Amino acid sequence: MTQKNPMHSFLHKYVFSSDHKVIGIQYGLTSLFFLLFGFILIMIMRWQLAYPGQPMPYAGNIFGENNMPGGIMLPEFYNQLGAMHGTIMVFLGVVPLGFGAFGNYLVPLQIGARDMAFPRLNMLSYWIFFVAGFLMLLSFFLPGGPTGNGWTAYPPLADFAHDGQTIWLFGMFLIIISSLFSSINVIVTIFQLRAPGMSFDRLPFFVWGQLITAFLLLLAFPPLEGAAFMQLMDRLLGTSFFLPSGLFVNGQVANVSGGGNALLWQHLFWFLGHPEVYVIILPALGIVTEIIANNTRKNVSGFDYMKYSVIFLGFVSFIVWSHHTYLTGMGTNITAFFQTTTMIVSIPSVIIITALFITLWGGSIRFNLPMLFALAFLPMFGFGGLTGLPLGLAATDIPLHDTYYVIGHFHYVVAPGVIFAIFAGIYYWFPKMTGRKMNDFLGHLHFWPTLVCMNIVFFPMLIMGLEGVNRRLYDGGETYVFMHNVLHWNVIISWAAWIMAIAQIPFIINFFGSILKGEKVNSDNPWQSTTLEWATPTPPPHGNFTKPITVYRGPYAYSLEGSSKDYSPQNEKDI
Amino acid sequence: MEENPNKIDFKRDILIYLGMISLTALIVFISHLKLKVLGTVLIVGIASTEAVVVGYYFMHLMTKKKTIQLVLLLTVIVFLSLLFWPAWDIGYSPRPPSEYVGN
Amino acid sequence: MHDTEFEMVPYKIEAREDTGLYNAKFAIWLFLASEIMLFGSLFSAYILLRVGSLSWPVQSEFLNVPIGALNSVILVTSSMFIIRAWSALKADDFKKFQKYMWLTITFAIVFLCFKGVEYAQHFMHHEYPKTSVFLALYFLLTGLHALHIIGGIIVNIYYVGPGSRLRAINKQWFINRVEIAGLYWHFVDIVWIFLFSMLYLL
Repeated sequence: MTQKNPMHSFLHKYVFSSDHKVIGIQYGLTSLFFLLFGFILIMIMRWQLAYPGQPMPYAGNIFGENNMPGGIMLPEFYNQLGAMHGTIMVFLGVVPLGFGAFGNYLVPLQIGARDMAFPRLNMLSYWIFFVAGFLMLLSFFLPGGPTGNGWTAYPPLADFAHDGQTIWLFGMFLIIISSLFSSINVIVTIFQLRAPGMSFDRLPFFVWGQLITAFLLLLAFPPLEGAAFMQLMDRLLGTSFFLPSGLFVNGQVANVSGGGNALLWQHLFWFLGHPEVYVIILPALGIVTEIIANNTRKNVSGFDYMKYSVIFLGFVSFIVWSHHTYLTGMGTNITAFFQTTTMIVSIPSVIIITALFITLWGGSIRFNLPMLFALAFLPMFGFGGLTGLPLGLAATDIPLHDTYYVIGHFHYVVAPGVIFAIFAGIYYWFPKMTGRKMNDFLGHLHFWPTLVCMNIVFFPMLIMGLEGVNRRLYDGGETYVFMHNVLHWNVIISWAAWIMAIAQIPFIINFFGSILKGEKVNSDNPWQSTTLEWATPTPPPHGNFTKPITVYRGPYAYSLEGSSKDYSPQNEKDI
Repeated sequence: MEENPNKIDFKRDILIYLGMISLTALIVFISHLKLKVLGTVLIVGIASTEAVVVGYYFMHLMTKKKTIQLVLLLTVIVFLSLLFWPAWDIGYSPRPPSEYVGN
Repeated sequence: MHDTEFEMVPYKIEAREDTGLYNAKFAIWLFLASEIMLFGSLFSAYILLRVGSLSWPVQSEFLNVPIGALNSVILVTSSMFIIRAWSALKADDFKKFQKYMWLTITFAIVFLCFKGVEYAQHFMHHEYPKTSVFLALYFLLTGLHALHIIGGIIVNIYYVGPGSRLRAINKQWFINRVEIAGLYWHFVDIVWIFLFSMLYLL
């Protein structure tokens, strides 16, 4: 047959591919781009925060007279940068990286399947996500610019805002559809396509994390979708789902029917918003567990407890959302309910982190780059989580709500937390995906400054918040005299952030450079790991495994008694 | 097992169909009585019954494994409690400003 | 359909022993769970807005209860028909499947016609979504439901029409797909039952 199979054209193999590995890499590259983009947005904002009202050198004029006349940032532009930073980082950056990229690539491999349950649906998910991201970026080029109402888009402001908000709503709608299809795919894949012998308790923790994440996405996103419909109707059809009666806008009574409730949006948003943070965290916990088990050469301590914890976490995460609305005038009974559930939801995460810490005890720790990032994750994420406790209790939340303390808290868990886990995963699985190692020296140049700068950036925010500096202040608090004694931190934070940006350059060079010229690995399993993704050729071909897989043991069978090696892969009969 | 658990019994189907129609007629009748709380409870209850009938017989939930039925039941319970929290909360939170007319 | 793609994924047709499901059936149930959360959030919004409001219109005075009740009967009947269609397929009677599927589709279209009549009546009386919160909720809920009906109609037409050549590839696979379409259809029926009760009768 000399006829070329249309399925093997470049377009089909690398662009419109239904292979989960190609889709995973597509998600990975796209969301890494968005991560960088969101990072650049905050770099720009940090100038205004450190030197409010001063013209930005070199780059001040490229944003146009509408946004930065004379290079001085307008408050509206600051808000727009802030809203898009949040939206892009959460919905186009970390979640697609953790769930779309790592999830898609690794879940079928780690369960011994040849692909996802619905490969073409998978491809559709990616392209819908791509269009959503494109829309969000497009909003920057609208006459009024992108939305400036925070990633939380609270009405009444969001109802009356300019067109950028409508684009945001459409973008969110597409993101939700993409995520819905992906989550269905992941759940069905994990339940139905496990290899023979791969029972649920032999699944790696990474897969458990992905399973619970998928359930969270499946069930928590629809209320935001409903709320987005309502806000779209408010904006486009003049309804008042979120607009109470007697509302004054720009000095006049608003010409709407009234009868709505602005709090309705808040509750619907946070009903997604809280499970969303676990969607952000769980893939990261999964990645870190894989790397720690591999680099301590022992089984994860308390692995059973970790599994029960992650299931429990999934359930409880649905009933804590109102700790984001403590200051909206809720009744004391309902506040008490949510405080209790919020305290309870912190327990499973503590169990998981503690189990990982205990795993280190007595391990033969290998301090390679993935392990460095994973080790840094543990105290950073743990600390960030602890700073959340005063926020979860209503009395202490009263002075802290909407201050820089909150920003410090969630960035600690996401930035030196989740993003470090993502870096760890990239360094760890890069050899399997490309057949080459990433350069260690550049890796250290990336890791150490980033770790130090992360702390310099986010720790002072906790201090500033405790002093009462509010979030989303375009001048960083200069207007308020009582904040002045902590505002010097803004300058320090900004410089640390800019230095951190420079520290990412070694990573970008390393990433792309190693794909082309990295040191080739001489083994399919360079980290000597036990999980199934390493039992494939490098990089894995279409169909993943060259022979049928049977699983004989749990995922972290390291240093077994009687074995000649310190690792016993899941698919090898003899230990 | 040769007996197809999904085999549809024609007579049973007609009975269920007539049952659904009667429940619909009943629910419209009750709404005409304009009972306040009792009316709401009855109407929601009958609607839920109709939904369960469709789920159980039409969607052949009765042939699914017990675990799936249990998970669905749990989901429904959680979902219903979440559906009614706003009603409960309204009872304890301050009234909207428009109510304080004249202050 | 590329052959090796077809063989890549097991349990497309036969059920896996421990879950008792084939892939698409599991998937549609998960999808329906998310749809329950979607409509549930909108019902929750309705409850919040109604309980928190000072005054709420008498719904049966704004909405046409007889047409709503008739629509309920129409939808339940179409649900019956799609089950008949599926049983006919399982009994390998393709003609009967087509007949019942077309009946399902017809009744669904009749439902939409009545809905259209209702909407037209509202617009003629200048009752738009922006007129009141109740009407906004009514249009949103019934509109979203109607979109789901349209989606179902499209899927059903596909399977009775061009999609039926999938039956030549694998009979059981096609029967499964019609089963999935039926499950979705019953869900749309259930949503209407609640919509009708809540919007028209309470």
